[in-house]
Amino acid sequence: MSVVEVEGLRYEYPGGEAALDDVSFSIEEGERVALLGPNGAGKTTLVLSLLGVLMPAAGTVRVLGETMDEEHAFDLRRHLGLVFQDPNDQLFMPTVRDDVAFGPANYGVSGEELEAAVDRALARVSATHLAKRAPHHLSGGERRRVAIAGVLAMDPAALIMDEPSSGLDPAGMREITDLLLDLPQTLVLVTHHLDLAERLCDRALVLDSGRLVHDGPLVDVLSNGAFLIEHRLA
Amino acid sequence: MAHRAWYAARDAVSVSQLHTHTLYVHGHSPAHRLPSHVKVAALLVFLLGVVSTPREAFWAFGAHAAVLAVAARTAQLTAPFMVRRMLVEVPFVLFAAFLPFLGPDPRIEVLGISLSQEGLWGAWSILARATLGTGAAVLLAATTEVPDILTGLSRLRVPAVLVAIAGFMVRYLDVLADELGRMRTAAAVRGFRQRGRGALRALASVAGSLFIRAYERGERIHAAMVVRGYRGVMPQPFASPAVAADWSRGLALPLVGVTVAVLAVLL
Repeated sequence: MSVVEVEGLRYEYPGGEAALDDVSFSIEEGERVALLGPNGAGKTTLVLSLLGVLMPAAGTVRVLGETMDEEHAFDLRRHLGLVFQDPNDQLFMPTVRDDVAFGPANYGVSGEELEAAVDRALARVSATHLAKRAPHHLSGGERRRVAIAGVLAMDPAALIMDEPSSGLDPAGMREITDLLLDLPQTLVLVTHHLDLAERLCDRALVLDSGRLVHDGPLVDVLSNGAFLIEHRLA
Repeated sequence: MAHRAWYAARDAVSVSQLHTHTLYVHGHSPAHRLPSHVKVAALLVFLLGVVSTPREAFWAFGAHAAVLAVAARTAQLTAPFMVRRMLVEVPFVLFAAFLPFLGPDPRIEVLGISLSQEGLWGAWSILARATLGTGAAVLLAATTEVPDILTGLSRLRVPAVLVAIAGFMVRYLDVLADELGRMRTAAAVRGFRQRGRGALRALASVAGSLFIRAYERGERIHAAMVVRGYRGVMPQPFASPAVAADWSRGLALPLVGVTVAVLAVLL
């Protein structure tokens, strides 16, 4: 079954200008897809539409076969774990443990089940020892890992990573790359870094000015110099 | 078992890294272990006792101070430590020092200086109550970490929205301070000096852009909450209830303070 299916998606800014126009694609379970495109191409808008935070002017988004609308947004978005570019935006609870528990607790998980979910998620990103710490006392790499644990605790079908390399030193970046390679979930990687995309993904979606200009093997993008320059990817 | 592993992991990292604010003093005293909402309630009860004690009852203030000293002792905090932390009250009580000079008649002569009797009483009253109150607050802050104080507030039925706002404030104060710091550096490297009318205008625009950045961050944080299932109610993931023994332990000393206040009013 498709994890995400997008058909004829259009999103308009308040002025009526299209941020996304006629975007269609689907992502199957276990796929690793890079979402590429220059600044302002509509990547973040697309991601927020997938999660039903933004509602499209036209077209549909389906998550695990269910149509995303106001009514189902709450139930459906738990299947897509979005990790934000700046972990500071995502780690808002007083301690790491509380933060990782935030998602599952919102979906009614409590008691021992909640503790188990939190422990499992923290162990998955090797951050068990950070449980009692306050988010603002963590290093960049630690914050990123904890932010990933926060969505893993919700047991999502897919992870959507928005520029996971930002703010990381090379060692931190290697840790995150290794971790992402190791996770079994379907992966959508939003990035400007072609080398990171190459390590993690085999398929690429390229957005430019709100339109999908490529959907296919990532190699085809990487090996086409003219295409890279035309769409400001290199 | 899990707890032991947790303590081992916790001791492996340096203690200063662990603690969420500078006022907290690491320890395992009975006062540290008490559930946070019991401590917050105890602070409130003690303060009520202090403020309702008539200012003429010197002995009662002595008794309050003794209660505070016992509590500090229980928390394994030393007198020099308490005094140092309590200095924070100085700017706030400074104006009390003027009252004896500015207060209304009748006046009395002390060492050849004419002082207002009413002003002296006012100064004493402010100083005594503020000192006891500050001491009690220092005690709470030294034995309870900020996240626990927040949990304590919400367990005491403080509206969730207020607790959430306080929590966000604590969480993002550092982030905003960092942003302000970077903006100041950016201004300084382009030759900005904090002088003159131009400086004022530059500072105003820094304040403005800091506000806009904070607002935008607020929007991003809200989006991050929504995608993890936030629907307007903050979850309380790991609240553990206090048992009766916690309440009696925590409220014993403050209730002594209230008894003292009642006696002082009646006698």
